[in-house]
Amino acid sequence: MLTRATTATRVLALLFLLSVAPLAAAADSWTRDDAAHLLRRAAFGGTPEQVDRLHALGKSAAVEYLLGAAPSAITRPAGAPAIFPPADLPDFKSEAMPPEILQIQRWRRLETLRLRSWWIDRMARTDRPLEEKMTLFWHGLFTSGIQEVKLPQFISRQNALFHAHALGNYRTLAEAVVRDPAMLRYLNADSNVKGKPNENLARELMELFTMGEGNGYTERDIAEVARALTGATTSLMGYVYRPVKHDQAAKVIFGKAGNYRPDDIVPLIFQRPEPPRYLARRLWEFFAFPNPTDADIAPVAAALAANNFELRPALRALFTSPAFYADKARFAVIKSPVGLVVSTLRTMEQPSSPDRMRGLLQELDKMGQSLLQPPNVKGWPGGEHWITSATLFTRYNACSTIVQGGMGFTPVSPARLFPTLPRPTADQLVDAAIARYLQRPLHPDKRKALIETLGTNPLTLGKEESDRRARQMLALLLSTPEYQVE
Amino acid sequence: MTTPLFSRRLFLQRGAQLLSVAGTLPLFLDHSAHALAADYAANPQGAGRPDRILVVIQLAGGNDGLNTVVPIRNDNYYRARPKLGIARQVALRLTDDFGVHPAAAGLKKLYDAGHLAVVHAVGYPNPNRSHFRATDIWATAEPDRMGQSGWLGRYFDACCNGHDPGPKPAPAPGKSATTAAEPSDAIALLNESPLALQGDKFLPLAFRTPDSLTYRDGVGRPAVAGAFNKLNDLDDDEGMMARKPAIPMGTAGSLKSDPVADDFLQRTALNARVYADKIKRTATSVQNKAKYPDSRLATDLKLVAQMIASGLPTRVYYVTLGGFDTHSQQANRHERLMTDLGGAMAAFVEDLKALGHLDRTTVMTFIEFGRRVTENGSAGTDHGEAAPLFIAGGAPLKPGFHGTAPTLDPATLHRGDVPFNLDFRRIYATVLKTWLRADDTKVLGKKFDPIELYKTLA
Repeated sequence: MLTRATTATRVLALLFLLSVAPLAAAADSWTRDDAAHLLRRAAFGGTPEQVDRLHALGKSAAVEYLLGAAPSAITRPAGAPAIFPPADLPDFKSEAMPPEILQIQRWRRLETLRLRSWWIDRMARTDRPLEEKMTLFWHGLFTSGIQEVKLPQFISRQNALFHAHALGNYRTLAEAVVRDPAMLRYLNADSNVKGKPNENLARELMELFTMGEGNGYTERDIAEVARALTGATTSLMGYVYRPVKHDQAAKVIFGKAGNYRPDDIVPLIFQRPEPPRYLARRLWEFFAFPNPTDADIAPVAAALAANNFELRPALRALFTSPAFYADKARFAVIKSPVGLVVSTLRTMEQPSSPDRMRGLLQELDKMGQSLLQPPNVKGWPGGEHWITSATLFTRYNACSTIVQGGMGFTPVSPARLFPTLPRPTADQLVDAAIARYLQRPLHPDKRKALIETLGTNPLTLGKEESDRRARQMLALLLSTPEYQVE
Repeated sequence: MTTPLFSRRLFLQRGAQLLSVAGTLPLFLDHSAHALAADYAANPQGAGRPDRILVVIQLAGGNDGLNTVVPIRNDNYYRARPKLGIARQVALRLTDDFGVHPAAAGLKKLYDAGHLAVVHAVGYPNPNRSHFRATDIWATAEPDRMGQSGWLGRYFDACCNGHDPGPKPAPAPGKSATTAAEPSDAIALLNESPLALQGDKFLPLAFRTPDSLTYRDGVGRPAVAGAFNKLNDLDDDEGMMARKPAIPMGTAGSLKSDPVADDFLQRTALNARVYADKIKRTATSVQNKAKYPDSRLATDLKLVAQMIASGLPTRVYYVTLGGFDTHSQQANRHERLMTDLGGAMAAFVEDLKALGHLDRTTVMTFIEFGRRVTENGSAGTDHGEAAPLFIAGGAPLKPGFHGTAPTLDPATLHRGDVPFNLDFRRIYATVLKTWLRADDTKVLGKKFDPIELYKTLA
C-alpha cells in the first residue's frame, strides 16, 4: 500500500543505492531480516518503517549510517525522511545544591535520579542510537558506581566522557579514565600513596578495563602499577596530581624498568597485544553473541590494532562480518533490562520525557540493571544472568505497563501502531503484532492463544473497547520468553 | 483435555518436573504433578520433604576474619593493627584466646548455646585475590580451572540418580519415578541465580520476594492468566519444524537461529510460572516464632524459615550479605555488617529451633577471601587469603572451634596474608557426604577428607 511519499522515498533510496553500487556489489546478501537484526543490535530495535528504510540503504550504507561517520555524511539521500526522527538531545547540566535543600544526601539522590532520568530519556528519543549503546557499553566496562563516588557531578562528568568517546578512541578514553575523578574515587586512588599502595585501580585497570584477568600481567605488575599511579588523586574540583604522594623510585612493569608516573601506564598497557583482543571480545559479546571464538573476534581486534584503537573501524568490521549475520547470531542475545525497556518504549512509540522515568528506573533496579550503579566493578555479566524467575516477571510487568499505561505512561494507541489496519480481523492484528515486535514467527499454538484473547467481536482500532482488547494482547505478547531475546 | 504444549522429548532430556498450579487454570495436566500437589495439601510434613536442609549465607566482598574472630591474646595481631585492632576487653569473649567483634552479639549467643562451629583459616592453595575469580572458585570448588558449574549445582545434577537416598514423592499410577532434581530443590533469594547453585543441567529458583512472581495483568482475570500460561510454556519443537509458519514475514525469514537463548528462556519461564504460586502460598502459611532484626539478611532468613517449616521440598537455600570489601574506613562498616550477620543468624537459629526444624538444618557461611593482617593507610584492609568460616546447626552439629588457629607470626604469613590451614573443599566434602549423604568425590572431582563437624549421624 504505497503512498506517494513512500514511493518517492523508495525511488530516492534506489538512486542512492545505485550511486554507491560498487560498495553494494562488494557486500554480500542483505535481506530485510538482516536489516532488522542490525537494528536490534546496533540500535534499540526499529519499527517496520525504520527496518524498511535501513534495508533500502544496503548493508554498507546502513552500517555507515548507524556509525554516523561524519556529521555531514549521514548517508541517506537528500529529501528522504530520516530513519530515526530527529531529536533535540541537550547535554546534562550539573547543578549546585540549592540552599533550600538542607541535607546533602537528599540533593545527591535527587541529582542522581535526574541524571539517570536524563540518560534513559535520551536513549528513548535519540536519533543516534549506536552512540547511546556504546555509552552504555563503556559504562559497563569502565565501571564506577554513584554510591562509592558519592559526588553526582563526578558521575555526570564521567558519563559525558563516555558519550564523547562513544564512537571515539579506546586508548584515548582509557587515558582519560585514569584521570577521571569518578573512577579514581571509585577505586580508592586517593588512598594509593607512596609507601602505602592501594592496588584497587591498578588491578582493575588491567584485569577488567584493558587486558583480561591474568592475561599478560602478574601480581607483581599490579603492585608496581599501583606504585606508578601514586599521586593521581582527586579534590572536590576534579583530578589533581600530587607529586609529594608519588612514589618516585623505579618500577618494573611488564619486565621493563622505568620511573613510571600515572600518565605512563595506559601507553605502556596499549603497547601490549592484549588490549585489542580484550576489547574485541567485549564488543562482540555486547553486540553479537556470547562466547565467540578467536576467529569470530579476529577482524574486530585487527581493526582496532590497525587503526590506532579507533572504534568506528572496529564496529564497522563487527557489523559487516559474516559471523555477525550467521544463523548462530540471530536471536542469540538476551536483551539487557535497559535494552528491553528502551526498545519497547521506542517501538511502542511512547513519548518520552525525563520527568516520567522514576517508576521505570525502579523496575530497572529490580531487573538487575541500576544505571550508574553496576553491582560491582566487573559491571553487568549479562546474558543468562539477566533472567531469573523474578526478573522475568519484572520484565513482563514493566513492559505490560508501558503498553497498558502506568508508571507515568499513557496507554499506547493501537491505531497509531497499526495505521494500515483500522478494522483488522483478530488474525491480522496478531500477525502484525508478531511481525512488528518479535520479527520472527511465533509458535502456532501461542499465536492461537493470542488470537483467542481478542475475542470474537469485530475490532475497530481507535474505539476504546477494541483498543483495550488490542492492548491486552500486546501486553501478553511482550510477556513471553520470545520477546526477551533479540 | 487439551494436548500438552511441552515437548515430551525436552521433558525427558531436561527432567523438568512440572507442577500444576491451583488458582490458575491448568492448561496442561501432568498426573504426577497433581499427585504431588495433593500430597502437600494433605500432609505438609510428608512425602517430598527433604530430611536435611542446607542454608548458605554468602558474605560478599571478602570478610575481615581477624576482626570477626579476634585473636585476643595474639601480639602479632595488635602490632599489625594499631588502629583497627579490637581490644581484648572490647571483644565478646568466646574462649581464652578468641572473641568475636563486639557488634556480633548474635554470634556469641549462638556459640554459648552450642549452636555455632567456627573453622579456623579456611582457604586453598595459591589463592586468588580478585573478587570475581575468587568467588567463582568458592562457588565451583575448582581453583585450577575456569569451572562453569557450582558445587551445589553439581550436587543436584548427580543426586536423585541413585546417589541421594532422600525421599522423593511417590510416582502417580502409571508414571515412573522422576529422578532428576527440580529447580525448586534450591532457592536463592536473589535477583540472579548464583553460580554455586548452577549445575550443568540444574538451575535453581531465584527471586527476591514471593510477590515478585506474578503477572499483574492476569490477576483476577482467568482468561488472561490462562493465555499467559500458554505463552509461557515450552514449544513443541518437533511440531514447529514440521509446520510452516502461518505468518507472512515479508521476506524469507530464517527459522534456524541457534536455540540456546530461546531454550534457556523457555525453561526459565515455565519453571518460574509453575512454582510462583506455591512459593506465594507458603509465605503466608507459617508464622515465625522469633523476632528478627530489621535488616535485609534477617528478612531473607525469616522467609527461609517459613519455607523450611512449610514443608517445601527445597533442600538448599542461598542468601547473601554484601559490603565486606572494606578497603577504607573499615571500622563503622564492619561493625554494621557484624551486627547484621550476628543478629540475623541468631534470630534464624532461634526461630528454627522453636519451629522444630533446627536439627534438620545446617547453616554455613562462605567468603571469597579474608583480608590482610596489616591494616592499610586508609584505616581499612586489602584483599587477603584465609579466614574463618561459620557453621550453625542443632543437635547433630559439633560446636566450638575446629581446625588450627593461625599464629600470625610474620614468618609464617604468605606475603602478609593468613595462609590457609584447612582447604574449603574439605568443608564442602563434609557437608556433601556427612550431611547431605551424597557422593562428595563425584561432586568435587577428587577426594577431600571430611572434618568432624557432626556427631555420629545415621
